[in-house]
Amino acid sequence: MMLTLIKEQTTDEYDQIMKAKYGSMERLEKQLEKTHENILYAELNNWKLLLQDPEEPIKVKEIIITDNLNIGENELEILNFIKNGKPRSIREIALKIKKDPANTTNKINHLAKEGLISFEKGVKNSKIPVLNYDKIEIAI
Amino acid sequence: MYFFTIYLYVISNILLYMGKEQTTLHIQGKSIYIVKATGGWSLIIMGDNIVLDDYHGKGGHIHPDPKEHGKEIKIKHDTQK
Repeated sequence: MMLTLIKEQTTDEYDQIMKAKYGSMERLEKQLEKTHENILYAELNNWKLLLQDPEEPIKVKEIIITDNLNIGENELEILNFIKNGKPRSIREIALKIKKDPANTTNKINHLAKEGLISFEKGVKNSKIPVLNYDKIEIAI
Repeated sequence: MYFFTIYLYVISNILLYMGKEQTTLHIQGKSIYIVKATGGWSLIIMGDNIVLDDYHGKGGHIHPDPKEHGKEIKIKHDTQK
């Protein structure tokens, strides 16, 4: 099964992420001069490339090729609620979709393990599931 | 073989796309990060930090040493076609 998660990012959003990671392009250039690491070389050149045509958005894709994921009606319902219902906890999702909390937790953890969703920190160490993509394509 | 075919299909589709794109491909425990824009493309095998690129259209090449980006191996296939 091949899953493709897709979202659009503005050039400015990408620029902010890179600045948060490296401080500035100049600092990354200096770091590269010191270490000569491939990864820094690629990050620097990608940064320059993606800043071109600032009006054009960047298509961000996460492609997952796996045989370990079953997406059924329950999983789709969970994904839909995470995307549109903005739940504050896994328990809230289970209550909303009227399913067993333990079973829902297992399904959500499995979706996270396969990279479809991620978790943000909530209050009192709770985990808030988030889906930061606009579109999911499934190819079988 | 099945995964290899999918892998080639995905990579070729990404490189043929004309807009700006960042793709992370997860396959069999490896992550491959691919960036494509008008001025070139790059592909990083994450973890190993091996880079393939064609920045500024100077021809595809491999940077095989993660700690020395100056080392390059030219890709014989013409990536400009």
